Amino acid sequence: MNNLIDPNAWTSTKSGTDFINPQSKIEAESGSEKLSIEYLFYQVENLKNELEQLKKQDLIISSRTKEISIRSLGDTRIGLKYKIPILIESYDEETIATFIDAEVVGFGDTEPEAIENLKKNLVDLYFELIEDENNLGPIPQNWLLVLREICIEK
Amino acid sequence: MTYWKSIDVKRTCENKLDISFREGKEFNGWFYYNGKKILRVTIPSGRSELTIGTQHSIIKQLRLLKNEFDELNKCPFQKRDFIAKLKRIGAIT
Repeated sequence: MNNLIDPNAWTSTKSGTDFINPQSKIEAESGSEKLSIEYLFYQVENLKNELEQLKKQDLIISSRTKEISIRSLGDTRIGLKYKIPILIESYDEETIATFIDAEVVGFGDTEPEAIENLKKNLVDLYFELIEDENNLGPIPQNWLLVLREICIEK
Repeated sequence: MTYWKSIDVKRTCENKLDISFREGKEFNGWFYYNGKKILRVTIPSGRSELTIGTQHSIIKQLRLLKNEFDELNKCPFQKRDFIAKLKRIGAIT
């Protein structure tokens, strides 16, 4: 099989119809063009390799991210009405926790630290938005809507 | 891929975008336009070089593309370019 997928055998030609395999003259009809079986094998082999690489990339991404939920903010002033989803991204030296709906993030060396920082940032953001409620651009206005929906003042 | 240092990104945001950060475990700051809060950015403190994930997170928070973020930190991308970008995506109305 390896000798069939040697790309050097085809590098000097422009299109599939011109391909001449030194070991075989077998050709297959593909649409209106004639393609050698060996060239088709070569293409299939390339596609298999690309697919493997994509699977590996997907595995890396999916093993790096997960979703958890939190039900408290650890603050005396506000709490959560219900559980909210948090995206956790783990890297070699760092973890990032994100509450996507209000774009709140927390960084940390560990997952608990990142979540702790996210909670603190979420509480801070809530009060920063309330404080300037009439001076918010469209994006922070949306964040405030989200936070009002999920937060309750104690 | 350029990896920026936390302190350099913070300094760029301060000097070029006039974002002032609140000191803490993390730096949190607002970008203002015409007295309105437009965007909030969180940068981790105490780190030398930002990891790829953190850098990506900051780029998203600033509504920039990777190349725009690099240009912001290098030189050509100025505050007026940032404002034009935010107007284009509707973050400033």
